[in-house]
Amino acid sequence: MATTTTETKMLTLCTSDKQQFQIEETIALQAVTIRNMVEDECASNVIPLPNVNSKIMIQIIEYLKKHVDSSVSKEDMEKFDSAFVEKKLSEIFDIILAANYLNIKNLLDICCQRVADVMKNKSPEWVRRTFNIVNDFTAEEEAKIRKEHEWAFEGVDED
Amino acid sequence: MEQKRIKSSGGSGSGSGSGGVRGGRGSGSVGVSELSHDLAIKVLTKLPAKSLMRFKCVSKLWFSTITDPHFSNDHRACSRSRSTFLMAYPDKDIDGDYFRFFYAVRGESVIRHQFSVSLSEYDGVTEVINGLFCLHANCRPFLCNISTHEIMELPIPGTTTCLTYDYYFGFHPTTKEYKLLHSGQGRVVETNTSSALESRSELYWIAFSLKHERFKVIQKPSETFKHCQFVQLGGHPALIGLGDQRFGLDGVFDIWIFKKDYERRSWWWMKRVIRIPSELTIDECCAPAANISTANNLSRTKDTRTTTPNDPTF
Repeated sequence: MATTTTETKMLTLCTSDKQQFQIEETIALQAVTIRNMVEDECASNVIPLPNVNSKIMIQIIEYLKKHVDSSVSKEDMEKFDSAFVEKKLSEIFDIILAANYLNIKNLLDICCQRVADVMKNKSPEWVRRTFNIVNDFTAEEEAKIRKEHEWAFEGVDED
Repeated sequence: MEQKRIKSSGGSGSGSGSGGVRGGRGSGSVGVSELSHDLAIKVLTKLPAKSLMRFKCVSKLWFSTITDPHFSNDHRACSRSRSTFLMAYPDKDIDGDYFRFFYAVRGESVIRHQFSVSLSEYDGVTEVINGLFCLHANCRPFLCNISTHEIMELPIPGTTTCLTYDYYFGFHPTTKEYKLLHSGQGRVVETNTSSALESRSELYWIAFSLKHERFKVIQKPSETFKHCQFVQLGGHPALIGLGDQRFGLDGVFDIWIFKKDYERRSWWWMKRVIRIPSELTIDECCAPAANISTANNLSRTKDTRTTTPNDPTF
């Protein structure tokens, strides 16, 4: 039963697909949104997170568990972070949305940096597809902007 | 105004039917999430300036975001944390003479070309300060942003007829003012405790205080240089000495920083030697070109950023 000697307070997080995750409070409180909910006592034992699904939650918990551990060296933490963001862009987008909602600043930063690293040599067309953006420039307007920044189109990756 | 919104990644189904969206990114099975524009901006602040210039044509919203001065400030603050290092050297090639700028990201031993200025179009190039520098041609000064390659003509200072003028570019860190000094003869530059340029003549050296806009005769450092270049270093005037043998050879530079001793109310030269990693030296005539914000850190110089040329006030 009570196997731990010190009382570790647990929180239950409930994701959008109604999965429940029991994690230590110290881990969960790194997410500012959760901390605020706990501090405001607006959450009972179960904290509903309707904007996060279980698939993403598992990854976020993995991240939070690592980052709560103060014995990890800065170097190892950076290694962990760079390995953590080695994911498909669609997954990174989901983590960005969740990290933004949960307010986990560093996670948001490393994921945004990952997206930037992937997109930095891409074409505007690639960016429009990836971010689902409609080009609202006329062909002439676009050609003019491109002409002004011709140098920036050197060395662009093939789509 | 845009049609983008956060769709929380739906394990819970709702996103999965988005038939119109082309999955440009290996379209996940779960339905494709979109980032709100606020989150897209977060990503944009982490991009190099070159990418930003390219992505101006993505959409009108992206164009106005990238050209927004607030965004420029955020971007600059963000890119400052990635120390990079800038150097420049004059170069001759078949097409003529160029002044080329290179940069290297700290920790990487790769030199990347950033920008070239054709010396057939321009007569001279000033020091690079916060990613900006001035060019002049037929006495007409231009302000250039090294990251975005934007060039803007500046008003001609005063009523001058063009003889042998020179321009010096300075930044005053406390007032955040950029100043362009236009000098007839002799070479002027330098300041008092904050920023400036230099002077060099066989007879005497003159410093110019950006703060008080006054000239001052200064003492030479004890060493003589065949070539030297004046820069601003952490608010102090400084001299990068390239002695006889040492025109950047082995990437070793003597840096003399002109400091004020407030107690004795006198000035003195402090010497430092800076070594550029050998893999980063291009050939024997490269020189650090950008302003260096602290004496012990040559790398805090150029960052990729978008400063709009209308930022600085003259």
